[in-house]
Amino acid sequence: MATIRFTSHLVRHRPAPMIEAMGPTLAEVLAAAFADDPLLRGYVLDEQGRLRKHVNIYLDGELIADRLRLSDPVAAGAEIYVLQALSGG
Amino acid sequence: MATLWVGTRKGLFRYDQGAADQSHTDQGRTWAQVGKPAFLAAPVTFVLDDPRDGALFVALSHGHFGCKLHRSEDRGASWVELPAPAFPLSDAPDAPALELIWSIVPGGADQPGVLWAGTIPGGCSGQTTAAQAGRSAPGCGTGQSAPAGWAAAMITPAFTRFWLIRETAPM
Repeated sequence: MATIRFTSHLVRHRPAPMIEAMGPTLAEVLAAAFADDPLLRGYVLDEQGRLRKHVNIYLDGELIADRLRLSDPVAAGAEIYVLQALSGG
Repeated sequence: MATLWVGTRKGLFRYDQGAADQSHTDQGRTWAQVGKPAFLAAPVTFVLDDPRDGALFVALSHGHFGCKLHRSEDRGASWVELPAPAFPLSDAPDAPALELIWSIVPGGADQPGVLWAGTIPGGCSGQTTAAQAGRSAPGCGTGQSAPAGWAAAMITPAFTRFWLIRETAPM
């Protein structure tokens, strides 16, 4: 079971409690996590299922590699953090 | 009493014309801000005060979290998020995705419950339920799950710049 946590910034817009979900890849874990609130999905992914440009996901401490298909493998007990990206100048 | 809704890059503000002046001759000096702003600090890209039923619609463009659409049936006291417009699912890495809602207008007299929205990228849409399939616009797809009574329509790219949302059940 992987654990997914969201930032307080996202929670300001949409309730996003800590979620536990299972799946072999990040895409599947997130799909399970968003099953109860499809609108939450739209804050993290666009309608094509790609990670939003200004959102980052850390999987066990590492930035994920595949932002398009979210194919990064997820180990049992993985810790996933969904963060807004800090960019701009 | 007249109400003015002001969408800004920092939220939605409400101004009411004070009851003290009914003559409209004071150059607006009796307009006063009412209540707390909604969507504080979020860029509001469009506000529609629907003359058909008084519903309010607000389009947002969150810097990190994308475009959102919200509706109020109680003049801004509470808001419900609606599914945002969505382009058809595609495997193409550069498949279009909604970037901005820059306009929302009510449908015509023969389109109760329909909103038309201008979007970037441009798209044309249709509504979603079987009950309304006979009345749907050409080239329309199916929608996402939605709060009771509402369904988002999918967008057909490169057709027009409009998208619509339609009531799917009596409110």
